[in-house]
Amino acid sequence: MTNKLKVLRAMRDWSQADLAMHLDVSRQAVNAIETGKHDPSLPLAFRIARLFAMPIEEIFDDTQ
Amino acid sequence: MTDTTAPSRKPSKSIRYRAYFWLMDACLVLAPLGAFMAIWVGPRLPKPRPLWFELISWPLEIFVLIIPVFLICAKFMRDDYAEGLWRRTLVVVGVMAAVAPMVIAFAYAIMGTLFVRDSGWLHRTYARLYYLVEVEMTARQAMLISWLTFLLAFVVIFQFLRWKDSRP
Repeated sequence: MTNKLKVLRAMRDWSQADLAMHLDVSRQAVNAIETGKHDPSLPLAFRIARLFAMPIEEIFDDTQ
Repeated sequence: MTDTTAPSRKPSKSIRYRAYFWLMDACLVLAPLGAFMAIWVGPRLPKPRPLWFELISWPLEIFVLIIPVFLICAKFMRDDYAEGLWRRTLVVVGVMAAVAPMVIAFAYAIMGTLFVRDSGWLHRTYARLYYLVEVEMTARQAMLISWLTFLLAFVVIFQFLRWKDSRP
C-alpha cells in the first residue's frame, strides 16, 4: 500500500520525530509507514487522516 | 482544518515506545549470552560456583528469563508498529512451533541412518552428535528448554523483522 505521508509531512516541514509525536507513535513507526513496510491499524489511519484533515483514501492508496 | 502547529510533547509515551526497542536490542545481545552461561559454562564449573560466575550470570539471567516475558506481555509499551511486529513475530513462531519438531525429527532420523549406523570415521564423528540429540531429560528440563527456546526465538525473529523493515 502506498501513501502520501512523506509528502504531507514535508509540506509542514516536520521531521519523522515531529510527526511521531503528533500521532503518539515511535519514529520507527512513521518510517515504516512511509516506506510502505507497515500498514497502519485502522485507529492510526484515522488519526493520520484527522491530523492532515484529509480522507483516509486520499492519503493511502491500496490500488498499486 | 489542517493541523500545522508544533507537535505536542508527550515524553512518557515516546520514552516507553523507545524503551521497548532498547530492551529488545539488549535482549538480542544478552539473552543468548545468558543462556550460554547457564547451559554451557555453569554446569562445567565446580560447585560452589566461583563468585565471578554468579556476578556475571545473575544479571544476564534477567535478560534471559524476565525481560523477554515482560516484552511479550507489555502491550502498553508497544506502539502501532511494534504491535504489528509483535503479531508478525508470533505468526512466524507459530509456524516454527508446528514445523520445527518435524524437521528436527527427520534430520535426526536421516543423520542416524546415514552416519551413526556406519562403522567408519563418520560413525566416530557423528556419534557424539547423535548422543547429544538422544539425550534424555525430565519433563521439567524439557519444559525449561522449550520455554527458553520460545523466548529466544521471539526476540531473534522480532529483531530480524525489524532489521528487514529498516532496509530500503
